[in-house]
Amino acid sequence: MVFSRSSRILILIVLLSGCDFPRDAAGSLDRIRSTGVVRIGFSQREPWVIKASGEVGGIEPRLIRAWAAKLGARIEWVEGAETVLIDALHHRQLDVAIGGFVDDSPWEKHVGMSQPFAHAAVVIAKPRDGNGQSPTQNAAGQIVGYPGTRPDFAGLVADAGAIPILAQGQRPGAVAAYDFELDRTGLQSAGTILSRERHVMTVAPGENALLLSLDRFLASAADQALVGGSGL
Amino acid sequence: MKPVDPFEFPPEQMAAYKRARRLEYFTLVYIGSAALFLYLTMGNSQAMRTSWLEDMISLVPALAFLITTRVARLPARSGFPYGFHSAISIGHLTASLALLVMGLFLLGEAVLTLATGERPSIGGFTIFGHTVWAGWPMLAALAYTGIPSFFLGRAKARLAPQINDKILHADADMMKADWMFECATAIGVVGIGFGFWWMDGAAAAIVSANIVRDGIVNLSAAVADLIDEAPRKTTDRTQVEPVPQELARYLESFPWVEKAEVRMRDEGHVLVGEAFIVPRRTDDLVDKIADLTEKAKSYHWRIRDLVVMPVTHAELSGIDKGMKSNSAPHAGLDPATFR
Repeated sequence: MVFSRSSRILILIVLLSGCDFPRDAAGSLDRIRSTGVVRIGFSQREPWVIKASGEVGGIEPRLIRAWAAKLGARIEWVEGAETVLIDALHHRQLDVAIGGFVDDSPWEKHVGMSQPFAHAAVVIAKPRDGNGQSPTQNAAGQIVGYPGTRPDFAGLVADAGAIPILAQGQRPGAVAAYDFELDRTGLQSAGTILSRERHVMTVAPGENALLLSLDRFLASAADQALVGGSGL
Repeated sequence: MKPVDPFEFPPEQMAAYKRARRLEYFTLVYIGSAALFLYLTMGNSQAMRTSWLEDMISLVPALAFLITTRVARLPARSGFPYGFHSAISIGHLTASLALLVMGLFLLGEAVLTLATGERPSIGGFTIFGHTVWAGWPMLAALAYTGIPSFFLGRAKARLAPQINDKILHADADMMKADWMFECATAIGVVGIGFGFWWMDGAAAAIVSANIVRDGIVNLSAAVADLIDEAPRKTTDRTQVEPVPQELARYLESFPWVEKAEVRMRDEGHVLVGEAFIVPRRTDDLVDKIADLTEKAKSYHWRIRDLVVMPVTHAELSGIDKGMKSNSAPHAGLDPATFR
């Protein structure tokens, strides 16, 4: 009987594997451990990845630094546009690429993706006014500011029927912002959620042990991922 | 206008038929729940996504069986004097197409994955605060969907010849395709875990080639039945169904019948057709034919409707000759060529 034979083989394979399982198709995790170098590609996307005065920072680099320290590896940072990073990753010339990737991006066929390490919502927010007024529910027709570093927010605002305008400096009206940034920036939600994002990191394809190592780290650090916001 | 008689299975076949319906309802519920389980665990694994799509397609034969067997048992009425039994052939065609399409889809997917050298990755899966290798829950989901398919397929394969149900036979093949593909996917998942990224596509390609073959065999059988091919055995299309020949010999056992020829077509479960007899004497012919028709219909439960036609020797030899030349080995549609 084919069925029982193949299940017996499966069990045998699993027993033989011991703790060295799963493995990488190209041995990335072993290489990182032996050479002490992990190659990280990044593309700037505030607040996930930012670069100021030559230093890489933001939510994701902070996580990557902690993970690399755990592996005992030095980080080799490489900057590139998202498409370029994915291409390099696909050819295994990078180990991990970051840049505010979300889990429903079109790259998932070509590279490995971590589990979501952060759930973020883009909301319409207003300056906190202190008197606890009930927030406006209807976004349609509202003028909503968006930061120049986040053109994607303009699209979300327009989709909700509101009018996006580029926010320059501090202005009093409604703005689009991530929910986890509100407290720190003195804003409060106006009740409209524009989008929910599940943020992931991308990993060289076929590198299962590397991906599992990153996933394990991200799961343990997920609570602190969004604490501290976009600071360097 | 005289419509054909209403059709009921004999008690033994009725029990098998009811059992088949219960199996198919169970199949719907169970594959539906399996599809949901797969959907929740599939992550970004292409193999798991394919497995989910495959589950959705494998619901088609079960649905085709449940719908068409119900339609088939409707009584004939003035607008439909032949009744509704041919609905079975439509159901068989639908189920066979689903099987073939699924095979082609899986084969295409597997070959494409292998050709482009895409490497699937399986990382972590966090459940109740623990991160485990995502391959384990995938294997659990595959076992959940694969193991019952194995037993369902065998039960359906046993029932199909009892009620001569071709949809059930095609569905048994679909269940077989299902568990074999789950096995291939499981081997692929474990292979990926060992860093053999090509194993997923290779296992899928071998199994889907097998499914394509089953699809072609079933589809050609369904098409042949729709062209009213002489009835063939439900489980083995290389064998001729013996009922028409046996019926002709039975008719010839009546002393007033000199010679008899029977031609029939398969409407799924049942056979419908004409008997041509050469009478020795023509006295009381109308009464004799009425009596013969009744006896012939109760000769075998599969004989749903029969028209008995008295003919001369010369006419019968004409019919006979036609039958002979058609009963030569089937060049085009013989499913045996695909075996």
